[in-house]
Order: sequence, then structure tokens, then C-alpha cells
Amino acid sequence: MYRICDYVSLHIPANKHTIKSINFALLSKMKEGGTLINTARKEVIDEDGLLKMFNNRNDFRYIADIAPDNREIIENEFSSRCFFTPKKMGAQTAEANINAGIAASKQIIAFLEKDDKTFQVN
Amino acid sequence: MTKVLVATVKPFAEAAVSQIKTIFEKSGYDCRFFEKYETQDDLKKAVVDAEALIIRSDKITAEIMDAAPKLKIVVRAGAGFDNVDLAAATARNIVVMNTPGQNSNAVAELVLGMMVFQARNHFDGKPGTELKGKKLGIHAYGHVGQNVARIAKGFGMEVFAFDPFVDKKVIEADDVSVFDNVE
Ligand SMILES: NC(=O)c1ccc[n+]([C@@H]2O[C@H](COP(=O)([O-])OP(=O)(O)OC[C@H]3O[C@@H](n4cnc5c(N)ncnc54)[C@H](O)[C@@H]3O)[C@@H](O)[C@H]2O)c1
Repeated sequence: MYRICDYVSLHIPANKHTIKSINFALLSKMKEGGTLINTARKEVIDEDGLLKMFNNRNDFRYIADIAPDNREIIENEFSSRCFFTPKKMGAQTAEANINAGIAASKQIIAFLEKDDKTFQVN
Repeated sequence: MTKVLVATVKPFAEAAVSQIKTIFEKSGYDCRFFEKYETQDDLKKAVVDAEALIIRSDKITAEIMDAAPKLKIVVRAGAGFDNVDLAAATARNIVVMNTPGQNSNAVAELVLGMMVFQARNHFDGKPGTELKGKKLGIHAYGHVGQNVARIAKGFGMEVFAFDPFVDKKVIEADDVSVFDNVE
């Protein structure tokens, strides 16, 4: 997928299998001119590998809703090939806020009246 | 009447508050809002008679649970739930839930928005490229990934996905091609 796609968008959770799994070995497979998008989690990126990718491949682009810790270096040196939101804002919409509140209310009623535990996490 | 408390340091949008009120009123629940509180001690006092609790990023510790002897359920309106002490809840027979998927369209729209921004050189006035006809690989086909696929198709992109935990047929039903290997 990384070899043939012009854009790769990350939507993996952060867990022991995925943390730092987006590393140089994988990124270096990316198609020429490829853009990586991360709205998932900061931890899934191997940030040293990311910087190496910027240094080794002047066609690589990275845009993210969760800026890496080495954001300043990347922004200073490769400003036209990166973009980071000032703060995590993917879920920050009025609609998402309303949807979550309504879902929470319905889930409480379903649980208390029908013992519905569909979204239980503990 | 079952008592529901909506405890939010960062309150819900007004539209959400009125819809939450309506939902509980219609079902005969007593729903109260406790917003912009300042300390965990204030929260402790507010939860005393709550049987159900809706929160956002609010911290629900063992201490808060002990202050709420009638509490049966805590719902975190949102995806992440590391602000709730799950072990403490389980030990007290309290069910904890999140509301997965409710923000996934918001995230997906940002993905495509950032892609256009990058493809058009950060809107600096110079000519850029289009998304139409380009290949997009979605790494994990969950709630957000599926929404990204739907929107990207509207742009005329060719969409691929890698997610070993989702049935291939489910992904292909969205007219998305599946990769068995992430590379
Ligand atoms: N930017 C934001 O504000 C924001 C908002 C919501 C969610 N998120 C993040 O976006 C990501 C996706 O959220 P979601 O709601 O779609 O989650 P989800 O649980 O619906 O989907 C996650 C998907 O990842 C897949 N997956 C798990 N491990 C994998 C692996 N090793 N390789 C490939 N696929 C794997 C699962 O099968 C599942 O389909 C999460 O990391 C979440 O934290 C960010």
C-alpha cells in the first residue's frame, strides 16, 4: 500500500504493536511524491525515522493533527513539505460534541432499561 | 426518578445541552448539569445522589466513585477514556462506557481538508495538484478510516485499505481495494 499510494492516511490505535511502527523502513517504501497524513496518534510515529525520511527524500510530505516532538526542526527545515495543526483539533466540531452527548444519553437509558452494555469499556 | 448528572468542566455546546435535557425528560429521568466546576471536591459533592454520570475529559477517580454510592454507570462522551479509573469502577460494579465513532466524520473531514491544503501548497498562490485520480491508502479501516474512504471517493480518489482485523468483504463492500500487506 505504501509503495503505490500517493497519500497514506493513518487511523491505527496506539498499542504495543503499533507504537513507533511507522518507521523509516516502512516510510522509505513510499511512492515518490507521497504524502503521509496522521490524525491518529503521535506515538505510532518513529520520530527519528520521520526526520530521516525528510532528510533523505525531498519529495516526502507529512501533515498531522498531532505534531511530533521534533516539530520545530521539521517546520524550520522543511516548511513547504509539512503541516501541523496548532493543537489537536480533529474532533473539535459542534457536531461531534452534540453527537457524543446524545449518544451518551441514549446509552445510559439503554443500559438502565435494557441492560444494554454494548459500549462498555471496563 | 433516576438521577443523571452531566458533570463537565468544559461544558457541552448549548445545542447538545438542550438535546440531552429533552432525551432524559421524555424518558422520565431527572437530569442535572454541573458545569465549569473548579475542584474535585466540588465534583465529589455534586455526585452524591447520581445514579448515572455523563462526563467529557473530567477525571473520575476512586475517590469520586466512593462519594457516589448509587452510581451504576459513567459514560465518557467521546472516544478516549483514560480519565476514568476503570479498575476502581469495576471493583465498585460501575459500568464505564465511551461513545465511539461520534467524532469520526469530524476527523475525516480534517484529513481531506489538510490534503487539499498540502496539494495546493498551503494556499500560497502557486499552482498545485488535484486529489482526483490519486491513490489513497487507508491504514486501519475503523470509524475514521471508513469516513475518510467515503469522502475521498467524492473527490474521485482511488481508495485502498489495510486492516487485518476487518473482514475483507466489509471493506470491499465500500468499493475499497484491500491490501494484505501494509507495505
Ligand atoms: N485527531 C483526533 O482528534 C482524533 C479523534 C478521534 C480519534 N483519533 C484517533 O484516530 C484513530 C482511529 O480512531 P477510530 O475511531 O477510527 O478507531 P476504531 O477503533 O474505530 O478503528 C481502529 C481500527 O484500527 C484497526 N487496527 C488495529 N490495529 C491495527 C494494526 N496493527 N494494523 C492495522 N489496523 C489496525 C482496527 O481493526 C480498527 O478497524 C485512533 O488512533 C484514535 O486515537 C484521533
